[in-house]
Amino acid sequence: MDRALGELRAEARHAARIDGEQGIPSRHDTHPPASEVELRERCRAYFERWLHDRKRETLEAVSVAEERAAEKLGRISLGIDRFQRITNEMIRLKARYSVRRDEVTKELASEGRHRPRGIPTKVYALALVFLGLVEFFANAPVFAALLPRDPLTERQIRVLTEMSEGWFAGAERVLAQLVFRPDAALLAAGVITFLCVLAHFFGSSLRELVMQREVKDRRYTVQGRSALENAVPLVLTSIGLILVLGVLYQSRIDLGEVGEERYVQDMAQVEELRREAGWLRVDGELLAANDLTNRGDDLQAAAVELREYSYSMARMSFPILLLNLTLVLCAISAAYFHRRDARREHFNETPFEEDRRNQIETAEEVASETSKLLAEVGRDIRGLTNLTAMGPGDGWRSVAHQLEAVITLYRVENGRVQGVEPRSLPAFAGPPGLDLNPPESGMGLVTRSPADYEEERAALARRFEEVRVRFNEESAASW
Amino acid sequence: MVRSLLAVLLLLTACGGGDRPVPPELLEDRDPELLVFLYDRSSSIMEHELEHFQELTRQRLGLLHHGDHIVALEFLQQSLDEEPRRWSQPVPEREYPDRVMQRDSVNHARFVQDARDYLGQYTDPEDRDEMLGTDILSTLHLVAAEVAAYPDHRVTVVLFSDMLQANHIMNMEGLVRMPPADWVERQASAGTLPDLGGACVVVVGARVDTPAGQRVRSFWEGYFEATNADLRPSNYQHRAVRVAETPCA
Repeated sequence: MDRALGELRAEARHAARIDGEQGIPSRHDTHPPASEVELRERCRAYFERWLHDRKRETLEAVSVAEERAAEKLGRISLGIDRFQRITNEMIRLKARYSVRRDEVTKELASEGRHRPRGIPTKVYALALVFLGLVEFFANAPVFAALLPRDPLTERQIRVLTEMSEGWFAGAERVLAQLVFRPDAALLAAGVITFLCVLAHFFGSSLRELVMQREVKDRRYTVQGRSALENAVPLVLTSIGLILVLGVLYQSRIDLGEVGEERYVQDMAQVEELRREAGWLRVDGELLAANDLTNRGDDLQAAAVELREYSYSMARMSFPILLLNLTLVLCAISAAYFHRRDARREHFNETPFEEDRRNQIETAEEVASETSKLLAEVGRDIRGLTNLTAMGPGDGWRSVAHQLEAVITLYRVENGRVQGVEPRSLPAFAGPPGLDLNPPESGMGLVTRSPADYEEERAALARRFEEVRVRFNEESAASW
Repeated sequence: MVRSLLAVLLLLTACGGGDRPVPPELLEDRDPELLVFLYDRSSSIMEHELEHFQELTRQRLGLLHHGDHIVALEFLQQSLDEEPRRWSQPVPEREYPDRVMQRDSVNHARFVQDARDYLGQYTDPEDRDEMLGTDILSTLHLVAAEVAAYPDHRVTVVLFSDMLQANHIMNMEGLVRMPPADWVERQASAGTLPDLGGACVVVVGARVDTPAGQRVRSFWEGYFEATNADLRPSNYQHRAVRVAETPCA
């Protein structure tokens, strides 16, 4: 546009020189020269073009500003709706919290002071006794076979075994094995007691450790007790269990060799007894021979039994180890479940707190975005107001003055070339004005008046403030 | 729950937990027996007769009971001055008098078998050439000592012999030197007869089918009567089929 104005001025100067050199206008001419008339037309055309461009630009700016304001007002409205929904949801969450807490408190109040055990004490004791008996009867014969045998004891067991009859014959025979071999029975009972006690403490410590860890994770309380307090007995009892099971395992392995060695020794003794019995028979000492033969038979039967038992125990050592492990695990599990849960149940606020925290965070994000949009839309509405207030022809007077200056430049340059005062020429007596029409106002460019937008914005701002007040009250309040 | 368990326990006890009935053999009111075998291996005894003696010995040993006592004697040859060949053993007692134990049965069977084997030497037909005679009368003094040693035993004396006394005083073989008819009374009066009171006497191997045999038999009947022993006619045989458990019942 400036370049076009510069060209007009250059043409005015050029035309003035040519006309001045030719003496146009003369002192007699009363009408403006043709060059000035043409310049005037060209200035008017220039003004019309400038005004058209301005109108197009203003229309575009108004459209953009109006679009922005309308879009942001919509987003603000949606944001406020969302903000309000979240605030309402917080109120409902608080109500749900109160109802649920009352329910749980009532339910917990109806329970006893102590939480029930996983396994009642009677069942636990019964289970432990039964497991102990199973282990005892599985291992007592091993120790009996490993310990030195007394012939008199063997005879007594044989007699009792032979005399037992009826429904309880089996029990009597088993009992005879235990009563007449108190050393083996005591040893086995000791080992089984170790196992049961170790398993009990292991299970209890494990439960305690799990409970402590769980409490720590939930951060119900400040931890005054160290986890090591339960880990130490756990480790110690583990070692104890491994040692005892190892001893039992090794005993069964050793039993195979011991049984074979003893069998060889016993059979040598059997041969000797039979040889002596033979000599006694030759001598007619039949009773003594009978005695020796009986002893030999007993010894042989015991040796064969021991060898077979030892062999089978050594062969079954690993399966029995698995059985022992199973029984120990059963005992540990029983102790674990028998351990009373020392924790007190209480209403868990965590899920509600998390929901509430999430809602507050979301609401604050929405509020922040809405505030930002409210600020932006104000600026947009003010811009729109300015555009509509100024209209597309804002600044037209300046352009008109510049165009009139082109005519003035023609006259001054013409006068200078002719060497006369331009005002002294009658053709230049008239004013240099171009009689340009002022442009229309910008109100016709908008669909809604900026005041409407402003009114809507103000209403949204008020609504936003109301919701925000409610939100602040809810977020600041405790449960 | 507990009551149910107790009920089951009581039922089990009632059904099978009580004492078992005592076997009939233990209920018999039987005195222990002293069984005395007397063997005559003199040359007057034929080999087949010795085999017969052995067979009856084996049969009679099978009838022994726990707590009985067995004595085997070989007849003296000339007099009591000789060292008798004697073997004596008690049959093993029951471990528990009121119970039948497997071990007792085994012991008994083994003892009987051993005794049969051992007593085989008393009927051995070998090495009889140097025997000087058969002194039944002196040997019965030894029997009397055995009877006296077991006063609470029922005594059975089995004489495996032809009952022919043959020593330097009396020789019944061929009735060469028979005792006088009043010999028993005189000896009884003199108190030189043994006391076999209560003993049940069984004779196997003595002839009864000849007058000589009958004469010998009548002597021994008188003798055993005088010694208070019980010799029944049915127990004086040459070839007995079996020796009863209680021949004098």
